[in-house]
Amino acid sequence: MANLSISNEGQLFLIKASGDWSVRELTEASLYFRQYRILTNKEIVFDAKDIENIDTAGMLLIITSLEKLERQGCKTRIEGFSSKQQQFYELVQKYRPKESLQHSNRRFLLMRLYRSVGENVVEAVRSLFFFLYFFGENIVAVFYTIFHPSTLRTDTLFKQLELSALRALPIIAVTSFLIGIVVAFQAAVQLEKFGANIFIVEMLGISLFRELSPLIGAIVIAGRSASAFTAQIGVMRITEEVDAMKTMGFDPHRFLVLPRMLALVIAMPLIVFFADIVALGGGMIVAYVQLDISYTEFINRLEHSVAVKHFVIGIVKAPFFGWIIAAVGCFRGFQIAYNTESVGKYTTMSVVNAIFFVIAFDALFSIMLTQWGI
Amino acid sequence: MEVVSVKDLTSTYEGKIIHDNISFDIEADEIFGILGGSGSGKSTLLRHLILLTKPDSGEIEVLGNNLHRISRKKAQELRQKWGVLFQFGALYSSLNVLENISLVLKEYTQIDETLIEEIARTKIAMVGLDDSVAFLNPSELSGGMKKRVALARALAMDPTLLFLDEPTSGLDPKGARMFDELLLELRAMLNLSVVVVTHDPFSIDRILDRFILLHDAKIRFDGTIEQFRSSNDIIVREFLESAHGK
Repeated sequence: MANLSISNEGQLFLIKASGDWSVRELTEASLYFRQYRILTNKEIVFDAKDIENIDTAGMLLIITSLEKLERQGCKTRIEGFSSKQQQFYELVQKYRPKESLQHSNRRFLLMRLYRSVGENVVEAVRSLFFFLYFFGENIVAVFYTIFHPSTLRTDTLFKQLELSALRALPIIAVTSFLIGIVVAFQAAVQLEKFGANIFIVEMLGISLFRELSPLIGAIVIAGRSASAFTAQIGVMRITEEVDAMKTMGFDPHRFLVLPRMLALVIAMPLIVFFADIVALGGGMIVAYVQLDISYTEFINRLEHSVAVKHFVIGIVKAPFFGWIIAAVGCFRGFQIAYNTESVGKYTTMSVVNAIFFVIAFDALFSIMLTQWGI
Repeated sequence: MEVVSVKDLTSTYEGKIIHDNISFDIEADEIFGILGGSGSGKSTLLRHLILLTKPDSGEIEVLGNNLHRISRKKAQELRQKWGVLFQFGALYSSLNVLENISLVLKEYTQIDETLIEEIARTKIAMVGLDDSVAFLNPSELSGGMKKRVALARALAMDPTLLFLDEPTSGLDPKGARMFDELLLELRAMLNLSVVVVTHDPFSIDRILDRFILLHDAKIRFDGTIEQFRSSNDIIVREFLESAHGK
């Protein structure tokens, strides 16, 4: 442990240092030094003879503390360094910072706020332009593929179908089933009060087919696939795979984006159809247990009183959801810069954006359909 | 006195033997090299020495601690006595340069903030960087600067033992030579023992006091550069000649 003691003969003060002056042992010594604030206009000798071991931190503590004393008008002098310590002292003197560091103005709250607003606006505008660029490239790739269908990467497409759709079925099944049960339970309690038990069929049929299944399906896929697409493409950018593809003449849009996009556009209607059935199954069970409506009765009524258009509307929305999710996921992936921090940032953004745009699009679609009276 | 001592170390990776009963010692105050071709297990060996992975069998002693039986507390103490420089710097991307270097000081000591900043800035100057990098983020640094900052971070606590994983790889020749000189200078002034994993022929000539050459899971050579040059071992000769492009 670093130790200090002080004694004086008239105006001459002797500070004796001893012990281990390495970085972990300095706490006491720095407290002692703080007490010497009261010494002004004195002559001070710092005796380093008994210091057993000293490192950069210890040396800096001595140098800066003596400098403070000098500023209080004291005259200081160091004695008793061994020749090796003296060398080390000169070395630290050579490398230590000469002036104090200009901390930038990020310390002030208002400036920080101002700065962050500005940065965010610039970032948003830049993102928008980049998205337009991405969208344009995407359209080109789509048309190119329409006119040259053989260039479609079918193997990647099927792999993506498996990864993004087929493997998502278990989680889609569980979520839709639970949503079916939850909605049916809530409806059952209310309908029972009116004795309108049988209307649970319309209630479930319309709400699940038209809104809930497409939304639940899209949100689950957005959580799974948008993040996966962003991370995959982002990591390929960091490892320069995307650049390698460009130099070989492989358009990243045709090789990476289109297969993923097409996979979701194809898969989403199927996923929604699957979610419809499972959710309705959950609702049927509740209707049977809670309201005594038999399965046959339920299905018969469904056939007669729930129009097909509700089912069709749900299915028609699905490919658009798929496109949104894939576009956001891939776009954010291409925004990832060459550092690891941005992977986390853009992956989070991608999921949040994908879910937001799916819900926003759904709301827009609902308003339009209502206006048209469908 | 030995700072590192390895006895009968064996390690395997997915059934393949990486190190087959190897033993060597590293003396205090020397710059010790671990050499070998790609895939010869240099980095694996280094990872064993710095407590990241455990070998299948054998004894490793670092600064008098047996790594096989080390307690959690002792291990924490040991980690404060060494510094590690990773191949690509491994700077914390969410912290700026100054924060990267001060982090250990803030965690492990009770020194006040101004002195910590002073120490960190001294280290920045010691590794040959300008004060202006202090507030930059790692993503704004070039490869060479990242390595220097990483070295400054490794030196933050004035370690007695420094582990360097390919310190000059990815640097331009001038930068690489400057890094070597820097290392020699730091060793002279800070009483460091240094363990270096490297393939750089110039670094091998310039900075290493002693080294081992790993080949086929064994230590093919253990000695100084002079002994290395006069060796008649076929593998050693091959390594030497290819390293110098002859």
